[in-house]
Amino acid sequence: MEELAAKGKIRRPSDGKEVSSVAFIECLDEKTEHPWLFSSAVGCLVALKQAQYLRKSNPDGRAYLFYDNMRAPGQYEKFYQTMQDDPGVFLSKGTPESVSNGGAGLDLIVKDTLLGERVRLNVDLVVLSTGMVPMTQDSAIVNLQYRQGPFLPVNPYGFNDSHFICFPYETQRTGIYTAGCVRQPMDFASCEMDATGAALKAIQCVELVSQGKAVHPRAGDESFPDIFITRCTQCKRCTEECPFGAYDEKPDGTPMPNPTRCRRCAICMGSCPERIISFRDHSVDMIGSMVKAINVPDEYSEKPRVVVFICENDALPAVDMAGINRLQYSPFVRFIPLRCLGNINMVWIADALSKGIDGIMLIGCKYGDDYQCHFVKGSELAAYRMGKISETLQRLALESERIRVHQLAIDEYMTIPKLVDDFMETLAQFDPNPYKGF
Amino acid sequence: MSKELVAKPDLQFTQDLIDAGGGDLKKCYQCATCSVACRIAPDNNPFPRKEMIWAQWGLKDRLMNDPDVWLCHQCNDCSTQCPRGAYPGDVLKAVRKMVIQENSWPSFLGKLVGTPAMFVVAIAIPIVVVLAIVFANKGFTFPQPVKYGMFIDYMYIQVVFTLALLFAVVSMILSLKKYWANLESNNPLGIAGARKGFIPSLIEALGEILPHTTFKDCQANNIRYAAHLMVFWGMLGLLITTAIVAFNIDILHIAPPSQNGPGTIPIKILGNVSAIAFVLGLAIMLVRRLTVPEQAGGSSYFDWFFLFIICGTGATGVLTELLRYSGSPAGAYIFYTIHLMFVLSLFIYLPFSKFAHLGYRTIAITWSKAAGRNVTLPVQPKFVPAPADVSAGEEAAS
Repeated sequence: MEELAAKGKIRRPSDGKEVSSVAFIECLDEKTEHPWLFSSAVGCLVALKQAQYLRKSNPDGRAYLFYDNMRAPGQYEKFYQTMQDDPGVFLSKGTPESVSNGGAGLDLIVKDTLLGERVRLNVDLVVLSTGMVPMTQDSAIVNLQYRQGPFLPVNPYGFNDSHFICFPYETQRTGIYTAGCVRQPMDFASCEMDATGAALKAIQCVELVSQGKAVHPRAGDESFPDIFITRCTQCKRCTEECPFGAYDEKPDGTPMPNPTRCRRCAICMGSCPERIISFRDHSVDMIGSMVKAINVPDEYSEKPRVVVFICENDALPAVDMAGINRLQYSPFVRFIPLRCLGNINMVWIADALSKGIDGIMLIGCKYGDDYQCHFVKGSELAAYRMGKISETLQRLALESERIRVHQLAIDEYMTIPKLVDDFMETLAQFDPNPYKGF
Repeated sequence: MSKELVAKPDLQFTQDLIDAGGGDLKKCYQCATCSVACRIAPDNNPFPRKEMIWAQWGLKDRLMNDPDVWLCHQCNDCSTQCPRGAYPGDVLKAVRKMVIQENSWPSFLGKLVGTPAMFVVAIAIPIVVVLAIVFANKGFTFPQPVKYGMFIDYMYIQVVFTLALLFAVVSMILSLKKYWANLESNNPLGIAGARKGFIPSLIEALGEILPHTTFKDCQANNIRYAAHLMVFWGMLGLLITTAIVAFNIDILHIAPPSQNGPGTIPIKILGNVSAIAFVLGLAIMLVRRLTVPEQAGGSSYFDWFFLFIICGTGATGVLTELLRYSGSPAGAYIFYTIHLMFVLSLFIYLPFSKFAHLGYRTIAITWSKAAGRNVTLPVQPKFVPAPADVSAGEEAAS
């Protein structure tokens, strides 16, 4: 359509007849099983713009737009209103039923319209708006030498994945920043703005790397994962679980870290069953010592003890906010912040329970398609690991309800007292942890 | 959904509606706030929502044969509540104007009255006719004491004005016949079922129109109901007065009551009370149109033309009488002449100006009654949330 309009008067490609009526069919992807769900963020605007081409080149031109949802984000609402005011632009919700050859033009039948009935139209041209497909769909563009493959990881909608709220430009491949329609469908102006944001992020990246520091979100971190490789059992959990593909494998299966890809989330530290991955300032031992240092009141004092492993990115600030707002919750809980809930190592759970701590809570970010985890899947991995904890609990002869995993968004701080108190109530149904005092 | 509409939008028609005062009709996005707000819209196929999209899509056939536009009494509740500023009340008004113009016979007079550029021609016709009458008598001589029969012989008035009225009535009947036939043949609302006869339906419609019951139920701007009621009955009273006087002169050969006669004779009381109601009602309408336009709706040339004639009629009529009492012959006779011009305009433009709503509304309501499209008025306004629910909702929210 753009090509036709660029030639001045819009003429039909088949026979060169000058076009005086066009039907635009929008939101096709929502009517079919097509996966490109977000086309209309731009598609409706493009159709409106092309309707304007027609109206400007032909004062008697009629443009019909049939849509499911007319979307004109932000300031484009004004453009939509302008086009709506044009007497030659006809807007209606509607589902196209059939298009057939109707003499001079095409017979289009649309059902479920705002007119309350099926509409039959004879138009010169029918324009179908298809969804937007990112360039990276078929070609990797950057041929990445990652063990996960040459493509950038994508979200369920086929666009390059990134943290949709906090850092949209950071891909899961450190040093690569995406902008524009590779990331999500958007118009030119938004692409430009997006590209500016991504360029600024790239500058920060170059600067931090030159100083040997981690990039966002742990910008400035100078530590690296340190692997005591002689004890490695080649289980490959670290290479599998690293969200950023920082570990390659040597032929014998031992991990080969790529420090420049690392974001210092320490998910590998939690994944390692041999507990041989640690950081200079964050290790299995350090957290273990924190757990061991917790004072556990004896079973006769009727004071339970609960330890909460909590993500320092969103959940810990939420607890802060609960404090600022003076929300009251059980005094028997002790918080241990982690870089990411994905740090959680099974040994800490075992340590805590065998020390007599009555319950353990894990609070991390939301996961799933619209994940909020700053390291993509840390909280999901933690939940997964806790699903497998029953073996440890059985060995200790303890109830599985003593461990609970929660997802918490930063703005849900008001629910913290309820989360904690509910857990305390559950624990009150059990006897105290029999390992107290050992 | 079984119906299928072959859409051939008439851009010119949409443009005409926009020019006729429905300037914001394209802004409608079919949220149906208007139809919900309207107290007198029928439950099934309510207006003005469907009329809005028909207007947007230039569906002239639909709108021209839609009796619903006449069921609206334009309280403008829909326009004030419209979230998009599309002014459905004004759009329906524009449609009504187009209906009058479309059905008018002879059609050129419909164009003449509806076109602002033709204003001079439109007012020139009655001026020329009345001046011709004046000069056919004694010209502008002012005999004393003021007695209008000495200025212009009553016979002239009888003949010319009766002819004018006859023309108006014939033209109106022809226009309405066309409209009725359109309603019958097109039946745009697709109402099927038992039909009532014309006469019983008309009687039912008149039973609603004469006391203005529907108008009263359109509660948003109730002062309009009072004003219109006064103008309606005032005008009817004046018409009856005139008819009785004419009957007395022509048939019974009784001289018209002299200006010097007592003001307490029944015919004078009827005339004066009617005149006061007429002028007072008009004054209320005029003041509201000028001071609260958001409730009165937009005022197009079509509105002002009719207002000009009817207010001119009222004002000059009252001045004529007052000047006669004050005994200033020149003023009295001149205003009498102007008054005659206005009354003549009122008569000859009846089927073409907004005055024609008298006929079209009656016919449309009659059709609706015949077709069983009855408005079941809610006992209470449609949106009154029960107080208990409100507090429960608040508790739940907190």
